[in-house]
Amino acid sequence: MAQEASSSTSSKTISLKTGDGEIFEIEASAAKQMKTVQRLIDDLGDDITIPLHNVFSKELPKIIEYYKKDITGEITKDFEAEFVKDLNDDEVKVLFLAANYLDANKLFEFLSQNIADRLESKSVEYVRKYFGVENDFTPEEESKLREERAWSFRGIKEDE
Amino acid sequence: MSSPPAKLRVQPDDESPAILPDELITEVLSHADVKSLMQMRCVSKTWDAMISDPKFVKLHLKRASRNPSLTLFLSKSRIDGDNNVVPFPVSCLIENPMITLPNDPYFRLRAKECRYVIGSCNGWLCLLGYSSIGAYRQIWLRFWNPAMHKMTEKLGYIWDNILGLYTHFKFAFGYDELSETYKVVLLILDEARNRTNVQILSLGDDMWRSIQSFPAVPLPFRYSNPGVNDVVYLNGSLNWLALRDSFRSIGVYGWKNVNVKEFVIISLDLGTETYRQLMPPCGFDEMSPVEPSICVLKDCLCFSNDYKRTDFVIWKMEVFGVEESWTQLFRISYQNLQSMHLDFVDLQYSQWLPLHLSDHGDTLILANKQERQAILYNLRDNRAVRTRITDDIQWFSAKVHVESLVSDILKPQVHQP
Repeated sequence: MAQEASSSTSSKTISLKTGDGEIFEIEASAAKQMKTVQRLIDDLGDDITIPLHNVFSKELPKIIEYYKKDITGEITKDFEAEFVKDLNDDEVKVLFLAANYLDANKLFEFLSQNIADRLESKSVEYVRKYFGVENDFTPEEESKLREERAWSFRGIKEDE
Repeated sequence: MSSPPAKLRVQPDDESPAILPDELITEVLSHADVKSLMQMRCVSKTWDAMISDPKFVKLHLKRASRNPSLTLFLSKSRIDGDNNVVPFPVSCLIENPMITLPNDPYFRLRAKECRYVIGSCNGWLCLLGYSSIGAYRQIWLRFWNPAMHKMTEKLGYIWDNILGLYTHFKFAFGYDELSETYKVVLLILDEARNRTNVQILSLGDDMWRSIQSFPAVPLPFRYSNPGVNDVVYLNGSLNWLALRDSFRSIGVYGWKNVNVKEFVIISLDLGTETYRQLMPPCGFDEMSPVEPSICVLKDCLCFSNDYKRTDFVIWKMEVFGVEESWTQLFRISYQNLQSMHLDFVDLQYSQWLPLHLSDHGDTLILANKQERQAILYNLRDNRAVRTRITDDIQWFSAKVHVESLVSDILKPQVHQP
């Protein structure tokens, strides 16, 4: 990694404080990947603890873990698969929202794809619940649409 | 990406699930596959409208282009000469499974009254079929989006009389962004008049129309089937490798008489329907018995040639249309491409065709005319591995293809000014 001309070196760490009051450390180079954090650093300086009101102690360590791997260039398909393996669909959603808040692009893209992949085998009812969407089709309208696109409904797994 | 929404966040131990704002839902859905999206149109009226919105279709297409497939052209039946076209994700191909492709009737061409795939554009395949009536052939086109289960009627009928579909016709398929029109271009070699006539069919029009004749002699003009890759579609233009000056037929041993300076790339802009001529890389300065070729890798026009029968070289035109921007992309020694099982194959005299370069630039998929299998070449450790799909695939007909939600390509006729 190229060294900054300014005082920060690659070994400098930044303190982040979650919405529920816990403090975590990350390297400055990892913080750079989260544009929201970098903006706060630019405004407040890198010596104080950066407050992240909308991220909590459940998600932040996971996000830090991801970017720790990223700065060493070690993010592989295998790593990404392991990373989400034990997360359920709701946990991934929360992590996705946190990545969005932090403006952490790489993680955001990866989680978008992961959520899309998870929904591939899910039913329409599951998708509605997952996104909190009301069904405003009448039963007749819905069954007509399903008939028209019958080919797309083959091979659905049962809701987990 | 959207700015952090104000009222969004819930505490982790709250009962109610986190709700994604609309722009994040769109983001997630733009990564979903077509089949799932077609199901999700039943979620609600808003989702139905969102998924069919042209802006979403465009966004989805852009994402899908980063995860393309190759259309594998093969025959499952030795009896009736029927061919199958199977879109196979590049990401799967790179993992190199040892499999046999299923003989799914959905991917058979004869039932669609077609025989070859001319090209792929925005998720639509241009298929060609014909029937023989006495000494004549009636040729037609048909367009198919396999992911959306949509297919057009037969259209663009042409008669092939003395001139041959297999020897004098070249078809090409592309898209003009400005007029949002899909077009098919047909080059017809007219040996008697020493020129190549060109016709265009804009999808939605009834008839083919002539444009200015081709300013060179397109390659290769010898026996080949219409499905073989001999044209490159890139950013609203169709591109052919050609020889300038007067027409001559290049026999199998005729390359030695061709001067390197005679090669030219003819680029047809599908919007203006005019040609421009592009010079091949100046690093290509020595002829070889092996014919050079063009292809697209990483959204750039590429030129490939043999170098002194020791290496296979691929050049990339970094900026389309700027001849000074030709850069050598790879130089691969034939020794590195050699397979230990096939030492009787003279790879240095083979015709090669690069098919795809992976996203992170570390795997190149390429095919050579003499081998049944394609090669997955690892550019980091210079190792070549053969593909293990057991079917007999015609790799020189493989097209780069994406899944798309584009549901209609027959534009209503709008007269050009």
